[in-house]
Amino acid sequence: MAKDIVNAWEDGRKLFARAAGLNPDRDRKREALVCLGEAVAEKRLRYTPPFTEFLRIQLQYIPLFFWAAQGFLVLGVFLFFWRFSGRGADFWAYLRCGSVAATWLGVLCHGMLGRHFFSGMSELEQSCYINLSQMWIIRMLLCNGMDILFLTVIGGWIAADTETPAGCVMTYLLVPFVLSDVCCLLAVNMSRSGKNRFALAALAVAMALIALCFSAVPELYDAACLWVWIAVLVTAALVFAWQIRSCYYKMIRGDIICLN
Amino acid sequence: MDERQWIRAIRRGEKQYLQDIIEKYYDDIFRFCAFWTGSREDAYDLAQETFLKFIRYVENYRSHSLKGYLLTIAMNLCRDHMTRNNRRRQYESSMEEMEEKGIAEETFAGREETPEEAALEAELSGRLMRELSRLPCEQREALLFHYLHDMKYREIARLTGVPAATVKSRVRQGMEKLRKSLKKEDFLDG
Repeated sequence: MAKDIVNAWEDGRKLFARAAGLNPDRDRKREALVCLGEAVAEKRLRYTPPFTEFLRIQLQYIPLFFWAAQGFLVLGVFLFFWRFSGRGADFWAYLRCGSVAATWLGVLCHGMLGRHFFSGMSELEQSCYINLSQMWIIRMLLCNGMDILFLTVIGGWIAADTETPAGCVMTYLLVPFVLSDVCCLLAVNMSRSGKNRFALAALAVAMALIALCFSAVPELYDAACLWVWIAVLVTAALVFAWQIRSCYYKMIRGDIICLN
Repeated sequence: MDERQWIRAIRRGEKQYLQDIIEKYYDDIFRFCAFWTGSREDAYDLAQETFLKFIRYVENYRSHSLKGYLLTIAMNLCRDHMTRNNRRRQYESSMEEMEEKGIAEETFAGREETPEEAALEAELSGRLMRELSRLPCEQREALLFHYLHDMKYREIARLTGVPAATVKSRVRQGMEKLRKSLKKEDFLDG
């Protein structure tokens, strides 16, 4: 037996397997279990859904109008691209369509998110035990994630059909998208009533016109100007990130955006 | 019923499964705390505290392995315990206390062994506890997770937040130190 133990030191697993016989005293264990049993009895279990369920709930409560408008837009763009695809595809036609779609995607997304900023929404949501900021962030991630995915697909399509570098095409599409996001979030922030729908509709028209004007000047899309596009994109993305952060904190405080 | 079903049932509000989990893992957690701290007395308190924390935060449980989650709580509590106390002094006094009381009967209670075998195993455990307590806590944790709880390097790495290669080297160095210190005590001469 003593020899067994000595040998056990040479092999960690055997050593610890023998030591695993270290058991708590039965009475002390019983006492501990009784005490823990009391803690279990006093415990009030709160239901906290996992992230996937949060996502499912958020998807469920996103208004039907948003899905319909988004679907219509995506379908329209794909139909347009499909029609022009393969027969001497024109880069400018693609770019115009893609840029306008990018601005409208931003408008649609913020049209839906802006509903959280209506007067009285905060009280309503808090009384329904909904975490407003969490909801807003999840929806923001969901919408922008879907939009960026869609822009990547059409960016890839344009790049493949016109033999333009995919990075350049993505930059040209992301600039109107992020700028539209910045403007829409600003508009939504400024108007906390149902009227912000009109502001967003006006913005949609204005942003689309600006995108069309830009795409009518081919010189702006020269390789030499690419760094300007990248600079605009980075700046706009930083401004947008700052806006989201500031909105989030305003919502957490609940004193500026939401409350009457 | 497996662990995932237990946790799902708990999330649905069936509290009785909490008690089942505690009963299933109490001995493992007690043993971990005893070897970590080198004190049975502290191990009772720390095991209890581990389960109280688990009960308090059970809704936030998202881990893959329930035992790994409980061991992480126990490890953090043991680390806090060490910072609160002068580890070595307390350990040595507890060892003396344990040796005086004659731990063989109570430590291995319930096992079908002769008193001589029980005494030898108790001696082994006592020495192991003492030698472990002299190791740096990272090496001690790695040894306990790997050998006592039969966990893979990758799992230990996930729990402790260090690369698996670091865990492997901690286990190797820890084991080496254990062997050296036991040879120094002439225990290996049998």
